[in-house]
Amino acid sequence: MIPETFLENLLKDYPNAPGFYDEVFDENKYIREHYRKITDHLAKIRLEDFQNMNEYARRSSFEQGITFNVYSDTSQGVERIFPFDLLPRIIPAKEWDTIERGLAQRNLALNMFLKDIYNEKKILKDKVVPKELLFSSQHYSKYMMDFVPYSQVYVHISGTDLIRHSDGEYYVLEDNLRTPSGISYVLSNRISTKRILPTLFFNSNVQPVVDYSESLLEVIKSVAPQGVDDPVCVVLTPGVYNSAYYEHALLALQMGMQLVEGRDLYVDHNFVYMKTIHGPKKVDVIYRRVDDDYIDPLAFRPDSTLGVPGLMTAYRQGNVNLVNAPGTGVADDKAVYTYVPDIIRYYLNEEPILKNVHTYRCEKDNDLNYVLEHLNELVVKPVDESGGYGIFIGNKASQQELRDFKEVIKANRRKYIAQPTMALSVHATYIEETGMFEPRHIDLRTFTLSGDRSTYVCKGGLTRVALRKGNLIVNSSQGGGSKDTWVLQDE
Amino acid sequence: MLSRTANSLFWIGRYIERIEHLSRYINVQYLSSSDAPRAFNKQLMLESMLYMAHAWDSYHACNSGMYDNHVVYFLTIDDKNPFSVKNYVGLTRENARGIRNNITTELWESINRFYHTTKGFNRDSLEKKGPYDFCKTVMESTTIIKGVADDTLLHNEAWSMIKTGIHLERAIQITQIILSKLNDIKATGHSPMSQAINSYHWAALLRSSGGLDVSRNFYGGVPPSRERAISFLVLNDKFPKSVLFNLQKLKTDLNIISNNKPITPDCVEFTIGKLTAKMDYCTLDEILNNEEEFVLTLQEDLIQIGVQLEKQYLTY
Repeated sequence: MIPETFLENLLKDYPNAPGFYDEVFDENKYIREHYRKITDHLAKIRLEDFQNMNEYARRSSFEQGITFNVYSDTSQGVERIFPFDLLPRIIPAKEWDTIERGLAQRNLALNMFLKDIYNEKKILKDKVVPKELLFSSQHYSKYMMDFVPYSQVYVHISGTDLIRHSDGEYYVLEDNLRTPSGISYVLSNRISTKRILPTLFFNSNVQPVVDYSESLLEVIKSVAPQGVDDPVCVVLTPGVYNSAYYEHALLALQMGMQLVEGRDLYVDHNFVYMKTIHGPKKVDVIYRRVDDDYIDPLAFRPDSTLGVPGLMTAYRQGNVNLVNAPGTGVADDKAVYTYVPDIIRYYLNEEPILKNVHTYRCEKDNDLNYVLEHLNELVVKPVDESGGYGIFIGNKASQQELRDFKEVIKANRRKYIAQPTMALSVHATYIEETGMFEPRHIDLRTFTLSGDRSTYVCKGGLTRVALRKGNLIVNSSQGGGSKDTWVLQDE
Repeated sequence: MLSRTANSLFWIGRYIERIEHLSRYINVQYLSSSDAPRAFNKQLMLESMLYMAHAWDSYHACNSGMYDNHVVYFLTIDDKNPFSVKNYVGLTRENARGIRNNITTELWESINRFYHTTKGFNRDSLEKKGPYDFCKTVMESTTIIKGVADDTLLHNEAWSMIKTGIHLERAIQITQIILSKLNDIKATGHSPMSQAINSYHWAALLRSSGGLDVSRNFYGGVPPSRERAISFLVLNDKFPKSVLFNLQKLKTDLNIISNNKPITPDCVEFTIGKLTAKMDYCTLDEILNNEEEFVLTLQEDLIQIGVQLEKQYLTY
């Protein structure tokens, strides 16, 4: 008879990942204090049962329709689920407290920065941030100049990506200030954990994440145009073929808002209306999940069919508010990222609580020289591309590739920044192919909401896992998975 | 409610109902032809299915010859037929996805499951088992979906929009089934029909509309006849599939949608009221005088109601 395998055996056989910070195990392969409760619980589970739980999680996502679609209009598209690992990532209360204060501080400063650069431009006049950097950015929107939205908030929803380096410290990897997505996975991962590991969850004092939709609703209502008592708020989606459609529908459902497409709205005398069965109904706030370029064909891309003609004029007249404001992309530009610590000091007179990854700006002569000399140790990124595309990883390149890329940088210095290779922390993750727990690199997308004089940070977030061994890029479009993220309450 | 949302809800109702009648018709035709009196041949059965589904031309455009496997496949799960049951299920799901936030999780999941179930059928299994298994599964699913809609949605204008689609489509499908059967009867020959064939056709008509059992009960076991079948399907106000019953329901559904606003002669509520009144006071003799023409006109009136309703509420 084959002896039964328990997860205890799997935890004992866990392979180390030298050179990286392991979230679960310390340097001596002891399980860290805040993970003990969960590993004690899991240790007693039979491997076979665990595999069934895994399968159950997968089926549950499929039935709920939480699919990361590769969708086509023949209704026969391939629907894939975003793989979900049952072993949660745990953040102790004290660590989280720092993160939360840091996120609130960072987003407050970024909102002040946006208001300033589109109006008085003090930070540019004081030469803290070079004005060429902003005016050359493709996200600097002339439609936002000399205009302040209600409540002076530009970024109502911000998705800040954090990582933990080998020194054990958290760093901000990037800000996402346009239309960050991923919160639906946070919510559905939590539902799955509660269903599959109920007793463990019940005994673990985990901070809730379900209050996200309520807080978002409050934020959206709080920034309605002045004089509107009971604002009509809607969620604007590009439609069912968008890969994040599930999230748009879920948030609309949970907030009790109408989910609209561009064709449901129109502008008349600079007011926005939606077309209902009983005629037009005025709309006051639009939580739009359509990119800047597509929201108004009269202002931006004329070929867009996803937007609403005349929306920007209605917005500037103050008859409707947009969440997030257009033009916020200028502040999550990778070149502006390097100035965020200076931006925080400038507006708040405080030291930044969260660290920035040290960044070399190729447009500066000293930095360029350093980059050219140390290219094999650095990661070079274009400042204007998202989704993990166009990244050059120095230590994986051949001599010829290094030589070639130096020329590419020199030809377009404004386009590139370089950062030291960050050693993303690893987390034990169940790998189906080997039937073992193995270390995999993770990051953390956090969600911060800013309303009229209020800030909310979702206590948790989306821990993304690079499922391919050794892969440092954790984007979902690059074959990643996710984990439920538990922020513990103080005991 | 957004006009686009209303449009999707209306069509979810229509598609679900159309799917159900189409599946029932295919199933009944297929099964009852196997023990039909000799004068009724298989060829006629297949023609009847295509006639009922308005699929004669599209079938012959991509098939040569009439074989039961081909016709059944074409009408049930053929991707190339835009009006196959499977494609209608796909359209239902697309509509539901687009208005996901306006329906309950229960309703969405029952539609999503329905979609994945029908996707699981293939040509092989259909040919081996015949259409029974497929049609039965489909009819059960539509019944479940309608039950879930009734039991989980708020009974407000959104729910009424689905019901409007269901009741309108059902009335239209019943007229279509009557026309198909009248067509079959004509095709069986000019000679006066024997009692057996006659009774067979009227029983098949009632069975195709899901009303054979209840009509037997209603008529105390007297065998189906032309008079009884037509009267039951058009004028019986207790039979949930009769045209009159559905017209009366349509009136109630639209009351909820229009929020009891005053009715003017140019609105769809007026047209429905007028047709309902006409049917309410219609005698069986008036119909039997020329049933084909009567039912054809009735169907045209129902289709016009759909057109007017779309113009009034669903145009965006």
